[in-house]
Amino acid sequence: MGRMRIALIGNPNVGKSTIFNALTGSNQQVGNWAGKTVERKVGYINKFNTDLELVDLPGTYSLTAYSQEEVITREYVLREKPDAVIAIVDASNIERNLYLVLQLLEMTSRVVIGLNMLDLAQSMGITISAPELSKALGVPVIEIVAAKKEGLDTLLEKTLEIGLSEKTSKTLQIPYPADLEEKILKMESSLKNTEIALHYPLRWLALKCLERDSEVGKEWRLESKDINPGRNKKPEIDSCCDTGDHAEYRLDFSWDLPIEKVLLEFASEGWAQEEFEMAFADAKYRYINHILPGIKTQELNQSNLTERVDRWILSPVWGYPLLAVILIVVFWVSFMLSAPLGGQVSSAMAWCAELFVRGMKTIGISAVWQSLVRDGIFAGVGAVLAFVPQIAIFFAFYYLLQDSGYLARAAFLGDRLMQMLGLHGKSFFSIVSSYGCNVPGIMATRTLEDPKDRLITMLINPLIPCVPRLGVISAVVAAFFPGLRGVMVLSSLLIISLLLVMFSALFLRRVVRQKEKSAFVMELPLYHIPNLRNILVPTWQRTFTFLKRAWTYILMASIIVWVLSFFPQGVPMEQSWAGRMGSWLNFIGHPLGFDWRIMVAVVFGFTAKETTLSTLGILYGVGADASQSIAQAMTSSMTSLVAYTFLVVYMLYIPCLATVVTTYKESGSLRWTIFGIVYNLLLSFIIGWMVFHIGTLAGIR
Amino acid sequence: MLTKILELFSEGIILSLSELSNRLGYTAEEIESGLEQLTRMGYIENVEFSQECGNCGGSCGGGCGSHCDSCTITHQNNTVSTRRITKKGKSYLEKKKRG
Repeated sequence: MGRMRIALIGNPNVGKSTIFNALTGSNQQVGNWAGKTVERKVGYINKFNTDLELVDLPGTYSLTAYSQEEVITREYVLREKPDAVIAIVDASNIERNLYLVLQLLEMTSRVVIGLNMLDLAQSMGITISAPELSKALGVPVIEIVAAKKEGLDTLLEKTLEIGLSEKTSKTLQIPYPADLEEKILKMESSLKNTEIALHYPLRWLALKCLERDSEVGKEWRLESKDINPGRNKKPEIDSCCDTGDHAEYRLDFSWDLPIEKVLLEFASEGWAQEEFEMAFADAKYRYINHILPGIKTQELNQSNLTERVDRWILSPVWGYPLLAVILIVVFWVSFMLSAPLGGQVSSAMAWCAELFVRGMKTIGISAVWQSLVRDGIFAGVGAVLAFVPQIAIFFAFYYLLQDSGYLARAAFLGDRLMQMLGLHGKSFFSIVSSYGCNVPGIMATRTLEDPKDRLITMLINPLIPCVPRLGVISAVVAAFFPGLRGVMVLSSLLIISLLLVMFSALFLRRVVRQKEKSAFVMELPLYHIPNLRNILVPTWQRTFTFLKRAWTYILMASIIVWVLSFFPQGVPMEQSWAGRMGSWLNFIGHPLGFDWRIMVAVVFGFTAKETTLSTLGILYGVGADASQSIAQAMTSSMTSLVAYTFLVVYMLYIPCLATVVTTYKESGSLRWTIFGIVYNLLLSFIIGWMVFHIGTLAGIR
Repeated sequence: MLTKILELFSEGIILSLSELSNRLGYTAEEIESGLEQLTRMGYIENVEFSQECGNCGGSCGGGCGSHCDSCTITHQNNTVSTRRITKKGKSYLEKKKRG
C-alpha cells in the first residue's frame, strides 16, 4: 500500500493540533483550503513501517453546511475518502463532542476515537468508560492525554489497523422516529439508482437531501494553482484542496438530483427543511442522552454542587426569605463597619478646613474667600467625602455578592416576582443593569423588539435606585438610623422601590399594551469563593469615580450653592438666593415636612445624585461649625420621619440628567421623556406625602 | 430536546440551564450543547448584557454619561450571557403550532 491518509477531526479546542504537532513534529505544510480562509495543515510521517499523510481538519462542532469549516471537513471525509479518521473527543465535555462524532459516523465507519483530556475530566470528577463508548458507537476508543503524549502510539496503531481493514459502506444507523425513518427510506429509494449515490453514502445523502443542504450535489474543479517552488511539497496533490498558498476552485457542475417530487410531497405533509433539520438534530441528542448513562459517571463537583445549592437559593419558598436575610446582613455589616471611619473622615476634613482658613487669615485673604473655602468647598465636598467609607464598603459587598455568583440569582428571583405582574421577561436585564447605573439599564432595553415593551421598561427603570443613589441613601440612613434600625429602613426603601416597579409595570401595561412574550435562557454562573481582586478592583474603580466626581461636579455644585447661599451678603441664609429659591418651592416641600434646604438639595440632585449631600452640607452649615459632621447637623435640624420621607422622595424622583438624556435618545420621543419625568416626580411626591402623613398620624417623630 | 427547548422560549420566562435540564430531563451539559447547536442552526442567538457602563476606550470608567453613548452594550463590564429566539426560531414554532 502507498501512503495512508489519515484525517484528524474534532471540535475546536479539544487538543487536535497538539496531537497533530506531537505526531508530525516539524514535518508539516501549512496553507489555506481551496478558496477559503481556513488554515490547512498536512504532515508526513513514517510509523510502523508505513508512510502516513496526516491532515488536520478545521475544528468544527458539526458537519452541516453552517460554516466553511464544516463544509471543508465533511467534503474532505466524503470526497477524499481518507483511509481512516481520528476523531478527537474531549472527555470533560463529551456531550458536545458526541454530536459531531455521530454525524461523522453517519458518513464513514473508518473511525477511531481518541478520548482526550482524561486528566481534566478526572479533576472534574468525570469518568468516561472507553469500552462502553466503543460498544455504543461501534468503533475503537483509545484513551489519550495529548498534552503529555500519552496513548498516542496506541491511537496510531489502532488507526493503522482501521486504515488497512477492508472498506465497507456500512455506517452507524442512528435510530430516527418511525415516521422519519419512513421518509428517509423513501428518499433513499429515489436516490438509489443515481450516479451521485456511487460517490456518497446513500443514507447520508438522503438525510442531506431531506435537510435541503445547500452544498450537497455540488462538485468543484481546480481552476488555477500557483505552487510556491520553495515549499517542501509532496508529489500527491489533493484533488479538492491546496497544500500551497493559492488555489482557486470553481463550481464544476451540480448533480441532477431527482428529489423535488419527493420533497414537495413531504412539504405537503408539513415536513419542510426546518422540520427535517430539527428532527435529525433532536434524534441525535436523544441518542446521546440514551447512551450517556452507560458511559459517563460524575462525582459531586462544583457544577452539580451549584445545582444543589440552587435548589434552595432559587426555590420559590426559601429563595425570597434567604434573599431578605442576605440583604439585611450586608446592610447591617456595612453600617457597623463604616460608622467609625466616617466620623474620622469628618474630623479630618474639619481640621483641614480650619488649617486652610487659618493660613488664609495669616496671609490676609478676605473673609468672603475664607467663607468660600470653609462653608462652600470643605462643607460641600467634605460632606460627601465623609461618606466615602460607607460607599466603599457598600460597593465591596455589592461586588462580593456579584463575584460569588449570588447577585445574578437575586436578580433571577426578582424577575420571577415581576413575571407574576406581567412584566416582560427581557426587561429583567434592564432592571438588573439599573442597580448598577440607570444609563446602561435604559440602553439594555434595545434588546426588546417591541417598541412598546421598550417604553414600559424605560419608564419603570428610574424607579430602581442605582449604586450612586444607594450610596447616598445608605449614607443618610447611617446618619439618622444607626445600627439595626438602619438595616430595616434601607430594606423598607428597597421594598418600596420594588413595589412601585411592580405597580408601575401594571399601570403602564394598561396604558401601553404588549404584543407578545418570549423567553431568555441565561447562564447562571457557578458559585465560587469570591476573588479578592475581583472585589477590590471594581470597588476601588467605583469609589475613585465617586471621588473624582467630588472634585468635578460636586466641587462645582458646592461653589454654586455657596454663592446662592452667601449672597446677598449680610442677610440670614433663609433670605439668601438659595433661601428664596427654597421658599418658592415651599408649596411642594411643606406638605412633606421639608424645609427650604431640602428642596434646594433636591433640585441640585438632578444634575448628579451625589451633589445632594454636598448641598445639604453647605446649607446645614457643616463648614461653619467644624465640630459637627453633616450627620449631626442634619439630625439636629430634621426629624427621623422627615429624613425617611426625604429618602423616599430622593430614591424615586427624577433620575439624574444623564438618565433623562438617555431616555430621550433611546425612546426618540420628547413626549414620553417628559411623561417619565412627570410620572417620577408625581409618584415620588405622592408616596412621600403618604409616608409623611401616615407617619405623623401614627405619632412617629 | 431542541424542539422542546424552543417551545420553552415561547413561554415568556427567564430560564437557567439547570432549570431547563430539570424540566426536559437532560443533563445541563447536553442542554448547553443543544443550545449551541440551535445557535449554529440559527434558531436562537447569543446576546450579551452588561450590568454596568464600563470602559469604552477608557473614557467611561463608571461614568455612564452622555459621552458613553457610543459604547455598545456588549463592550461593558460584568457581562451576562443569554440566548434568545430568532425570527427563524419563531417562524418554526408558529408553523409547528399551526400543525
